[in-house]
Amino acid sequence: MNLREAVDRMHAFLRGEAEAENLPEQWNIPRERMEYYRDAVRGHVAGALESNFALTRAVLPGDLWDELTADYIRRFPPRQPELNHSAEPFPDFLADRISASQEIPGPALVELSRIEWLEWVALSNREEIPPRHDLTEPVLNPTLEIHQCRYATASFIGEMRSWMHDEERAKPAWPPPETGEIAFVFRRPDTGFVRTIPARDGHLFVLKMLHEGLTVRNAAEEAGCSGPLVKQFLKAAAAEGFAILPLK
Amino acid sequence: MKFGIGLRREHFGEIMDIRRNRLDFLEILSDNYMFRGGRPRTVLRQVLQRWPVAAHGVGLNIGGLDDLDREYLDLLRELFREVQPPWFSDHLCYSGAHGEQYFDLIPMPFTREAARRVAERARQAQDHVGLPLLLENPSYYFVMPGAEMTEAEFIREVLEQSGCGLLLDINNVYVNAVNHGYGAREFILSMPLERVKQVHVAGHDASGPFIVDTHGDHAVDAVYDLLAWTAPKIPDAWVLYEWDNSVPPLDVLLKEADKMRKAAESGLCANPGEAA
Repeated sequence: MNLREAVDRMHAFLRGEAEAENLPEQWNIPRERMEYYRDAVRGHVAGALESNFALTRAVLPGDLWDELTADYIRRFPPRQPELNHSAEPFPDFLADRISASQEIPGPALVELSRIEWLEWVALSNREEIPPRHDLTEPVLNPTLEIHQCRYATASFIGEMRSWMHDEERAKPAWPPPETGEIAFVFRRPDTGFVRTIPARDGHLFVLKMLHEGLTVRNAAEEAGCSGPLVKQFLKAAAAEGFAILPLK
Repeated sequence: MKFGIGLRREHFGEIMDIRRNRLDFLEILSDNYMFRGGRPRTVLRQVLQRWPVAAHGVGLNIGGLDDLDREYLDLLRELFREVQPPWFSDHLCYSGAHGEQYFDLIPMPFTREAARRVAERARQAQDHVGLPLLLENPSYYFVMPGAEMTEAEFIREVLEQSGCGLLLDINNVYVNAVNHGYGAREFILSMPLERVKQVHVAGHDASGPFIVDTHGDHAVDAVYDLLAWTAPKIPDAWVLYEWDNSVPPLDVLLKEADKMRKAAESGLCANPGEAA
């Protein structure tokens, strides 16, 4: 048997396109030893899905998660050498698979999964967050990702995480209300952990101001508000972590 | 010998609390750093101020039939510009086919064709990255059909043809010896020990029908005995404790690394001057 044939037969087995008992006689290998590899290969992707979509999984009823991940692994074999990227098409897959129902509102679930993926994008972003002492002007956190939500999904994420840390709190209702909000997802400069928040008016003001490179005075003039109020918004944005202010 | 542990996310918050002389080096899993920025890279930069760092990978797919992934090699080279490891290492196996990634170590058939192919790709990878490549003897749970030689002969053939070094995983030797019924010491003696630059030690799971290399537990005494026996033959090797799954608190890992050091040093003291 040449190398190509060996690799091809193993590939078909790992993909589930051939079973151990259908392999030629010379592949007289104990079934559990072959299956160890198939389970491991599938398990790596299943693990990446579990870690990247923990909240999506948490809101799904019963065994549906297992059924969805098994189908996903069959249909979306990983192509990139970074394991987490094997999870990237999952929100699109969900959009195809989950139809709207009262129990699983498809669009809300897909939205939740998209934001969870953005959390990985922000967390792993290779862009350096500039140190404060290098700055002369406030800047946006370069890891900031923005998602326009149909549901109050960013609020839901914050409430779910609070509940997971303290189960004495009330579990947030699923699905979140269809009130719409803008999600800010970014890696915190101080801890390196990722954070998702619903953008409030002050946050959006800072986003516009820093995106357009406006000074405090220009921003205040344009918005018809006071300079101290603009500074207050900037401070709040820096405390959240999606804007970085110079040291002085 | 030098002794170290793997840098793991679970210990990012406390790794810099360790005294410099408690460890001789750390090892990173390159795949966990080359694709991303943020905290891992920040912690890595701090670690580099204190210890030398070795780089180990799982995604090179050195035994694969697909072309070597140039982008992967470029990212490795970029990472190593910062890390400055003495070498880089990956496993003597394949980890993907037909453009798909398995994220696991699939055994190669022990054939001359496979050895030639791996050796050629290993030379290409070394040239591209600009550092010596060490190939690790992986654990494997069945022998691919069509073998023309033993595992030991296959490894020797690849190393001789490629000029690569050997990362000798002592736990894998033990696991394979038990699973495939050969002598662990005979296997080690049949390796080109002058090529061993690094050693891995780890825990395994022997609760099932065959032993699985899990990297998720303390190493058993038999593995430490094997390390002690091997140490005098490779006195300059860097020896690393690998704990990747169910990662314990840092103090537990450090105690295991101390145990590993003690085992190797007891072997060195008992049989000095045995170097290959």
